[in-house]
Amino acid sequence: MTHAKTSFLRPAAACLAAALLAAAGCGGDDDGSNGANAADSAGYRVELTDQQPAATKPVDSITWALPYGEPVTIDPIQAGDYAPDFMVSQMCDFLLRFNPKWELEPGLAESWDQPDDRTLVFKIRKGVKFWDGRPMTVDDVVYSLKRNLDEDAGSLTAPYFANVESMEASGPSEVTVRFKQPDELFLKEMAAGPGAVVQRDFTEKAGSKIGTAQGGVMCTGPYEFESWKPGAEIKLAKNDDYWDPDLQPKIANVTVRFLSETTTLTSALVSGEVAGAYGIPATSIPALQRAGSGTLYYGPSTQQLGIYTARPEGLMADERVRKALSLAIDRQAIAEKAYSGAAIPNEAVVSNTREQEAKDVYAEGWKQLPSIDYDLDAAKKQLDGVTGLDKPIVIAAPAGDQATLDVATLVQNAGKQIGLNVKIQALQPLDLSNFYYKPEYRKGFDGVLSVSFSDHPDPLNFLPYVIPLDAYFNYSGWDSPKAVRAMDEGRRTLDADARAKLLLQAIQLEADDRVTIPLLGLANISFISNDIGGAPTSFAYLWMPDFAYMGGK
Amino acid sequence: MHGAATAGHREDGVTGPAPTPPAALLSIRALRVDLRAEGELRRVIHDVTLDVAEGESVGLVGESGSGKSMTARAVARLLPEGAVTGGEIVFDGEPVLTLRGAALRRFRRGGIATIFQDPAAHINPVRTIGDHLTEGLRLVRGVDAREAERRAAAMLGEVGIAGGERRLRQHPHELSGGMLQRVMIASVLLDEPRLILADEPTTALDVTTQSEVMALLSELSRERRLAMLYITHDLELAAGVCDRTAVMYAGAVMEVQRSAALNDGPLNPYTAALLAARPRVDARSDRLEAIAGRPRSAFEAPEGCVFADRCPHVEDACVAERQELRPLAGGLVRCRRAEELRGRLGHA
Amino acid sequence: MLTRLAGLLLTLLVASVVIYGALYLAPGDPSTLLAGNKATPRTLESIREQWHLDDPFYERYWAWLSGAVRGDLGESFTYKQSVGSLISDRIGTTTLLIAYAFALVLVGGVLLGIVGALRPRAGAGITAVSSVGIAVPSYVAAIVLITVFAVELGWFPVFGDGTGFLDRLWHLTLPAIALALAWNAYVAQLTKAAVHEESLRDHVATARSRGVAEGAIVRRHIVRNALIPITTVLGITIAGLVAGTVVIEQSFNLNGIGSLLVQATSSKDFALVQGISLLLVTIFVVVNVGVDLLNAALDPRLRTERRP
Repeated sequence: MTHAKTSFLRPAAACLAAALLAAAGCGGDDDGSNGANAADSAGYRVELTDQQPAATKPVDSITWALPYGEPVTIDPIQAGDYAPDFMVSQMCDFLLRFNPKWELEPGLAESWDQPDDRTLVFKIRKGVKFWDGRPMTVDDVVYSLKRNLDEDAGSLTAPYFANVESMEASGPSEVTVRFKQPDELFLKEMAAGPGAVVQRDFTEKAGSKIGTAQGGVMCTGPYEFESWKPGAEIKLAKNDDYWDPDLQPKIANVTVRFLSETTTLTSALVSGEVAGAYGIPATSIPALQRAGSGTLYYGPSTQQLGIYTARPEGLMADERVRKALSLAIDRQAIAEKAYSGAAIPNEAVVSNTREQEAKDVYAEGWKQLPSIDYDLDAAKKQLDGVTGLDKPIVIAAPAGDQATLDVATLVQNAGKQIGLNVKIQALQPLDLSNFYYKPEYRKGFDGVLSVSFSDHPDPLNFLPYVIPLDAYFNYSGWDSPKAVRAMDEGRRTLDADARAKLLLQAIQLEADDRVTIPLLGLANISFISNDIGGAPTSFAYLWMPDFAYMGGK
Repeated sequence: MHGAATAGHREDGVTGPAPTPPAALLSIRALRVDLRAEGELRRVIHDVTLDVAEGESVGLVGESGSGKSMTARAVARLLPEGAVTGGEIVFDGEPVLTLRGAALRRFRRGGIATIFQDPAAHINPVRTIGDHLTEGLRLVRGVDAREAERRAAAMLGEVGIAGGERRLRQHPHELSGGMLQRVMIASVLLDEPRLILADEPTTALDVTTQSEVMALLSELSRERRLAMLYITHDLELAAGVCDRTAVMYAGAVMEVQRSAALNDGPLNPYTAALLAARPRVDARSDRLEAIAGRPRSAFEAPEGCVFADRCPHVEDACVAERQELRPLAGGLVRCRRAEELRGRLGHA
Repeated sequence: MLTRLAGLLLTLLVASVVIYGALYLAPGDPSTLLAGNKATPRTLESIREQWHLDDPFYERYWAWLSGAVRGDLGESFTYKQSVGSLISDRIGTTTLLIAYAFALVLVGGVLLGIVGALRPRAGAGITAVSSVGIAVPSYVAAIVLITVFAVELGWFPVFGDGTGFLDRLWHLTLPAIALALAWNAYVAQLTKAAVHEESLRDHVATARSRGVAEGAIVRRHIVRNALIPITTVLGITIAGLVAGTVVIEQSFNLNGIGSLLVQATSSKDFALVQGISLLLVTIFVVVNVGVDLLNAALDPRLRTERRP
């Protein structure tokens, strides 16, 4: 397999060269250049930063925008999307914490220990209080962890606990988790929603209202849930008794406003009416670049965009068609046109995020993946002998997401070059969610263009959704016991390098068959007011208590 | 009924064309009116000369399009916007055509009142009968509401509508056409004018009501010694009600005579033709079928005598030059051959 | 009046069946949207059970109806909150927005229309401007207004509905203008036409011939009579403004009934769609009856016809 990354080397040659030569990357902890923490720019034309320089001045109040719209819940176990994840992270502490490079740090667990590969022991921090002043106990911790298993309560996080044998308090401030088999993924998820601790009493009393506008939540985090005006905003107030001396909240009041209308969001940011937002739509980049009210930040991210095969039948069920379409797409051009450079070509079903363990292994493994270079001749060659090419290839795309729709149009043009009749059908949110869950809604479709993300850069988080035959995103009937074995083995392997090799096997198998047509890795785009500093700008923001890091400049 | 209402009513009704005798309440001299239609001016009246003396009733007769109603509108200053006028209209010694603003309003409240053809259209359908009757009194003459209503109710009695008080609170659609025209007459009389312009006041009514309303109108105006310019297409009706009758054709007055004389000895061939066609009282048509061709409007009338192209007595000279209105036999006539034809124009 | 009330109830009943039925038949299983990404089948199942999503139509409709007659409009499953409280929380914003826009239409539309009809020179300009006004979609107007008056000049906020009366008025100014714009133009043109038509009526000539002052003629005969068609147009306008809030509330991120309806519909939130739709149906019926009553008060001809 020849491997030439020239096409995506060009725009950021200098930085990428540095990245390749010194695997440590362009930035690391270097907080020189812009004052902001530079990160490995990893082939992006734009400069990546993972956090603003610290800012410590107190601020009375800010309004923050939520471009993904209103969260459906703020209950950690029911959170499964940008908006709820972000809100949960501001209010609830997790056992562990990610920093902007997704490195694990202590959270409500002041330390953790792995006495053997099937046991995790968390030492729970003492003196932590819920917002109502009641102390957090190990009972609350165990209760919160076990809630993840309660699918009847709407838990989306049960799969992360599949290997757990028991979770118990093993001391007044100690919780022990035993596993049926070793599970690397579990530990990392403890720095995300599954590791959140809620108050048992409050949660039981709230019943099915937990996490709703009326029910709210009771956590220990730096920002306290104050009110939720459905359809409009959630108000947070700083927790004056927050346990972490290094992360005392500096902004007294935060109003989080749901601004899913892109024009409104952009205007509100340009006029300075809202202090910032994560997850800026790429279509707003040009307008926000000109804005004097704040700065656009591009951060490392696990988000990636690809075309998933929609069903076991139809043209896209044919591997040759998928490979042809993949080769006919000029990803570098799409990254520029649809994302203003805030994207890079992506080779696999997971993103090639540089902020991960076993960097060298992944860098080497990535080189082995089939080429995604724009090559029309090779693409046409793939189609030799394929019949029925006059039939349309129908690809679904989310109706509200302009950048993705732009990509869809470019993919359509790419198909045309090699004689594929690609048709795009925009789906409204309800239709799209039905599409994902139910085969009958995928009839008539060949593929779906979708942005996905992982909680952290370890492919372990995302592979279970694509590799197994019954996986959430595996609609094509692709069945590779070898890949499943490698993935499962990887999850059991606690050594990072060994794990990386196993996971790369699964990634490689998926890529060799082009089950998914990977398109782009997407930078995390944020816009932050000139008055505010300290904000994380990498995609790790999703599970970080961002507002607690922010302060006035 | 012919002639009975008018015979010998006033001696000074017949006048020469010029100069204006001091007795004339309304004096129209060489009136010319152009209306704006589709961007260009169109002549609707090119020569009307007519006097109405104090207390005199004058009929103005013509086919539709002859300009008779437009003449009335010119007198009442109700010409449509953009109309251009020439000649002169003098009412009570004051030139009317040049009035503007407050002077115009003073003129309107000062003595001319109009009875329109279609009372249902000319009375505001959403306001009460009382409102319509007292509007002039209250808004123009400052009579207080109670007094105005008292007078209005009394006047309704005079025009033959019983239950005045109750009627005041009714709306136009609750009254018949004949009743409404009586209301119109009442409203005109309440305004105490000196001249009534009656513009085909009975055309919209059924036959029996027509004569009742007409009789009422002429009786009431005679009682009050009001002058009246009565516009109609019905020569017989005009002759029956008016002291003198003027005949119009194509925007010009063709002949003016005492009603009785006109009937017996028309001076203009057009009048003769009208008499010959003699629309029956029940005729709804105002076209003269006895004369060849269709009536001409002022703007399409021939260069010379306006009737030349339809006149049975036409000669080359008639076509050559415009005719002036000139005195003859105590009346006025616009015809080159009037003397020659006199006595020969009779009923066909 | 009793017939009207019965008519309203019947309309509501029919509308409720139709709307519920349409939602029921529309494709899409809302539990997937509610669950978010990557839910297990069991999670979906529990949501469907909790909200009776698999029950047959008549059972679900009956459950809703029997609640509704007791004044309980049910619970929204996206918000897990009673429909009544969701609506009552937002009705104020929407009402104020509509009232504000309607006031603008009264001043801008009716007044301009009257002036335009009576002053031909101004009339030509008003016609030109209002033709443009009608052609501009409200969301375009919203974007332009936000860009100029909120972002560039900073006179008004970009979004939100504010707190307290004056602050709310300030927040709702741009939305009300955007909402009223097209209706303003529409009402101005129709008012102008109506007033012009009335000014040519014969009875206006009658009044003029009697020497009634022009101002009184305009008041008593022209505008007074034109009020009848204007009232009808204003009735349509209110209905249109209510419908228009759907777009405007979205554009200005206002937390009102319109944006709630959009959201409820897109997530197939039965009880919420039903509640809001019936509220809107009620408003439309009430406005209609109001216009009828006003017209009867203004036009005696209608009054007598109604009399048996």
